[in-house]
Amino acid sequence: MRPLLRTAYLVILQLHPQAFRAEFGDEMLWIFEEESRNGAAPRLLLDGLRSIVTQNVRPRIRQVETAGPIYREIDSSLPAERFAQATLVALCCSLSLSLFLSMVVPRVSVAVNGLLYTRVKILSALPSSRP
Amino acid sequence: MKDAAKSSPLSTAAQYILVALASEDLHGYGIVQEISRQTQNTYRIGPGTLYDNLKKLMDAGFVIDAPRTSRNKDDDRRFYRLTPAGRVVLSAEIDRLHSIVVEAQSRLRERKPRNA
Repeated sequence: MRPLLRTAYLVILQLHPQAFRAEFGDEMLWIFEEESRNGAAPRLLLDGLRSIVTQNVRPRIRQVETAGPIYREIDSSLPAERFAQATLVALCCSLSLSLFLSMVVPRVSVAVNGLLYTRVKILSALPSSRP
Repeated sequence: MKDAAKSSPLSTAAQYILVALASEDLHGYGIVQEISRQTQNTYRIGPGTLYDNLKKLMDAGFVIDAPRTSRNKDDDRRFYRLTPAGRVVLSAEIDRLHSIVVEAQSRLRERKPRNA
């Protein structure tokens, strides 16, 4: 069990930024090995996961802070936050569009091989606001 | 020094790290053990949290790498030392916490029932 946990922690360390890993990686692994003898491995794995997020997100936030509102450096690394935001916006737009279409497009049902296929009317399932 | 004292409140982990380093130079695991001893095992800092805070403290100039001495010259591990600026920040933080405690105690004593 312990080699498996150690491997998991090594993977966690690999997901840290290279500079942070080079500076503190060996010491982190050493503390993990010492502390995991007392059964603290799950807590330390969670701590390591949280550290990945902290170490990967903070430099980007700091970069924006130091750049200020006028000048902004172009970041060539994968903009994970931007992808998440764009996905959320795309989902909201597609949901709005489907709601709109469900209102304006008349309901059409097609029977194929004995099964009735119909356009989903999302708004018809919602309670009406009219008295 | 004055700027160091005026810095924003420290995180709990940073407070404990500075307190652990206040009396002697320690390596990473030594800091973990010292914090555990100080808190009677109620707060065990993980390596991720430790080195995240330690890096911030080092970037701010509150902690530095301790030079090799006769005590640790054979020890391959890296020791950390509190700087004078770190000591000022720790003192300011203790004063801040003390003022909160004093204020809280006085308010708790003064508190009267609402409908009295």
